[in-house]
Amino acid sequence: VTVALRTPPHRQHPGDASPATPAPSSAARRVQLRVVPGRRRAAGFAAFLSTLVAIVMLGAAVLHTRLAERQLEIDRLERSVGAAQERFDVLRRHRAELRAPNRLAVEAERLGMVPSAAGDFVAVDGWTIARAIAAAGDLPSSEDEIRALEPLDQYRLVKQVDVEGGP
Amino acid sequence: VSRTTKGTGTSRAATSRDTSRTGTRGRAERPPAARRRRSTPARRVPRAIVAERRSTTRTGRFAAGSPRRRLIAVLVALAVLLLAVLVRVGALQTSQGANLRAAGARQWTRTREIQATRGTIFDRNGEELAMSVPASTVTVNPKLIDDPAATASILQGVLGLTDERRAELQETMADKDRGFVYVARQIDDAVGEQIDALDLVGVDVVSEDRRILPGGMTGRSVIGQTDIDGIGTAGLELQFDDVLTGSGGEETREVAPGGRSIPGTESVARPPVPGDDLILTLDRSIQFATERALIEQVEQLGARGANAIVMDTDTGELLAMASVRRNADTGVVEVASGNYAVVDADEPGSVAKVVTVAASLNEGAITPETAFEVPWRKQWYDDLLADAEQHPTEWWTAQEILVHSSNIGTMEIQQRIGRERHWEYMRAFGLGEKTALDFPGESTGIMKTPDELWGSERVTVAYGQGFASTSIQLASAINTIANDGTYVAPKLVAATVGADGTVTESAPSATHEVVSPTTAQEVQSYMMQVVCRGTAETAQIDGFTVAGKTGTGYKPQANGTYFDEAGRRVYYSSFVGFFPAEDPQATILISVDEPPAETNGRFGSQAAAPVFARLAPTIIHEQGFQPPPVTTGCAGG
Repeated sequence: VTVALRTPPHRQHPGDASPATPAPSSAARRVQLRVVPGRRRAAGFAAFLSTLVAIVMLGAAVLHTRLAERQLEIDRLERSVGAAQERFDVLRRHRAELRAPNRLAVEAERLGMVPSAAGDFVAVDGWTIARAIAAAGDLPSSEDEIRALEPLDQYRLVKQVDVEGGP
Repeated sequence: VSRTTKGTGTSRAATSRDTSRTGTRGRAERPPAARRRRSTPARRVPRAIVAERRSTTRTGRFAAGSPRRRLIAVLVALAVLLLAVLVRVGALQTSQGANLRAAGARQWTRTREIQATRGTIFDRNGEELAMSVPASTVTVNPKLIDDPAATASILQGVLGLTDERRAELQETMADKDRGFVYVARQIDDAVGEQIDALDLVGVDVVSEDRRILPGGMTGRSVIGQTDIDGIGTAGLELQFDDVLTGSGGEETREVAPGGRSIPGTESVARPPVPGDDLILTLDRSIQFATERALIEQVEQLGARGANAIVMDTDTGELLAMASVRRNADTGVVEVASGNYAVVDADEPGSVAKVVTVAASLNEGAITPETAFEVPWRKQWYDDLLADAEQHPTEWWTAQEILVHSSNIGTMEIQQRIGRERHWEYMRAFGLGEKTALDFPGESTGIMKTPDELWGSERVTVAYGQGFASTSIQLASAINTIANDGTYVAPKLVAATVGADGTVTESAPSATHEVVSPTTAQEVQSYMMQVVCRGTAETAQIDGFTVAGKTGTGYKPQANGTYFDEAGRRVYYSSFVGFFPAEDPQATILISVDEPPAETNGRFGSQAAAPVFARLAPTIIHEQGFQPPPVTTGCAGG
C-alpha cells in the first residue's frame, strides 16, 4: 500500500485584510496524511477483469470443445448415413435381381411350374372379400407403414435424405 | 517520492506567494520581466538534488537525454512496426489471401472429382431396369512406384491378371513420364478394398460406379447402354443422358511428402448431385413376357427376328417394346441391342388396309353397305395385281374386304376417296413421320407424296405396299381406331425423379382426332370380325373379344427386288390387335422379320397372331384387365 503525501494549501480568511500575513505555526504546516483508496479499486477491477477474461476464455474453450464434439458426432452420423445408403443400394440391387422376371421364370421352371394354359374370371361380391380380409386379420398397422411403402417411394425418401443431409 | 513532492510543494508555495504580490493583475498585463521573475523560483532546484541528478544521469558524453523523448520515440517506433504488421496481415488476409491459401492447399492437399451417381431407370412399378452400383477402379502413378516388378506382381495376384497383362503393367509403371495409368476399372468393391488395404505406394483405389441391368437382358433394346465412363451411347441411356447424368463433386485429401494420402483427412469440398431417375411406362414383367414370346416364336419359325409393342390404348403409354434378333454367328435368338421397333421401317402389308377403310368411311366416300365387285386379280397400271388367294369374283362390303384381306377390294375403296386424300389420312394416322418418342435413330419411315408415287405404287399403298413404316408408327395408327378415332402419341417416359426425390410427371401425350368415333367403332367391328372369322382367328383369347388385322408384306432386298439371292420371296409379317374389343384397353403389335417363305408361317396369321394370343393373358393378369360387363364375343358378329 502506498500513500500520497500532500501539503494542504494555505487558506486566507475573508476577514483577513492585512497584507502582512503572519507565518503559520509549525503545527499548521505539518503534512497531513490520508489513505488514497484509488489503487485498491484498481486492483479489484484488475482482479475482476482477470476473472472475467479467464471465464470468457474458459467459456470459449468449452464452446470450442462442444463444437468439436458436435462436429465429431455430425461426422459420425454422416458416415452412418452414408453407410446406410450404401447398404440400401446394395439391398436394392439384390432385391432387383431377385425379383427379375427372368430369374423368377428360371426358378419356377426348376420347381416344375408351367405357365397357365387358360384363365377364367369369377365374380366375387364385396362382402365375401371383406369377410375374408377380416378373418385373416389383414388390417394395416403403423408398424407396417414403412414396409407398405412402394419400392420407388422408399428410394425417393432415401434420395431425399441424401440431398438434404448427406455428405 | 518525498523529494519530488517536497519540491512541488515549494514551488506551489512560491507561486502562492507570488500571486499575493501581484494582486489581481492578469497574466496578459504582466510585464515580461515579471513573468521571468515569477518563473525563476519554480525552476529553482535545491543544490543537493542537482548534484545528485548530475551524478546519476550524466555519464559523460553519451548522456541519453530526456527519458520522455526516448519513450515517445520507442512508442512511435513500436506503433509504426505494429501498423506495418497490421497492414501486412491485412494484405495477406484480403488481396493476397485467396491465392496464398490456394497455393498452400496445393502443397499439402490433392483434389479429385467425385463421380455423380447416374440416375436409375425404373419401370412403371418402380422395378429397376438399369441402375448404377458402386465399384472400384485401380490406378497407379508410375512416378511414385519404386519397384514396378513387385507392384505388378502383387496386383496380378489380387486382380488375377494374365502374365501378359502383368508384363505390360510393369512396363507401363517403369515409364516415369506418366503420372496416371488405369490398372482395372469397375471391379468388385471387395477386391478394391483388398488392394486398398495393402497400402501400396503409388497405387490408388477410387470408387467408380458400374452400370448394370438387374433384370438381365430384359428391356435392353429400349434402355440402350453406356460406355465404361458412364456416358449413354444408345437407347434411352443416350436420349436422356443429360437427365441421368448428375453433376460431379470434389473431394480433397491431405498428402504427406511423397504423395501418400494421410488417412482420415478426406473431406468433400463439393458434394456431387446425383442424376435424375427415369420412370418408364414399361412394365418389366410384360416386357419380359413379350421378349420371351418373341424369342420362342422366332426360334420356332426360324425367322430372322421379331418386334412387339404393347400400348395402353387410352394414354399411348408403352407397356412393352421389344426387339429380338437371331445372332448371325451363333444362331441364338436373343434380345436385340437395337430398338428395331422404331429404327427399322418395313412395308406393313395388309394392316394398312384399316387406314384406307377408315379414311373412306370417315369421308363418306363409302358406307358400311357399299359393296364392291372384287375379282381375285385385276390390272392396275402396268401390273396385274392379285389377292393372296384365288377366289371367284364377289360383291363385298368394306367389312368383307377387310375380313378377307382383299387387295383388289381395298384398292377399289381407295379409288372412292382419291389418292391425295388417302395420303392425307395416312399422315394423320402418324405414318411417314417420327413419333413423339424421338428415340435415337428413330426412322420416319418411307412415304412418298402422291406425286412421287409411280405406276401401281399409286394403288398398292392402299394395302400396305409401296411405303414403309416402323412398328411404333403402325401400332399408333391402329391404336387410333381402338381409341375411337383419336390419335394418341406413344409415350415411353412417365416421370422423372429429381435429385431431391421430387417426382415430375411427364406431359400427357399429344392427341388429335383422325376419324370420328362412329367411324372408328365401325372399323373396330370390322376388325373384330377379322379375328372372329377372318385371317386372324389365331389371335383369339379366352374371355375377351379381340379386334385386329393381319399383314403380310414383302421385304425389299439389297438387289432392288422382293427376292433374295436364292430367288425366294422375303416376307415381313405382322398382326396388330386390341382388346377388349368392346372397350379397348391394350393395343398390341407383333411383327416377324423374314419368316420362312416356303411355309404358311410366312403369313401374319401364322407368324404374328399366335404370339398375340399367347401374350395377352400375361397382359390381362399384370394390368388387372377384366372382361366388359356386356360382351357378345364373336357370336355377336
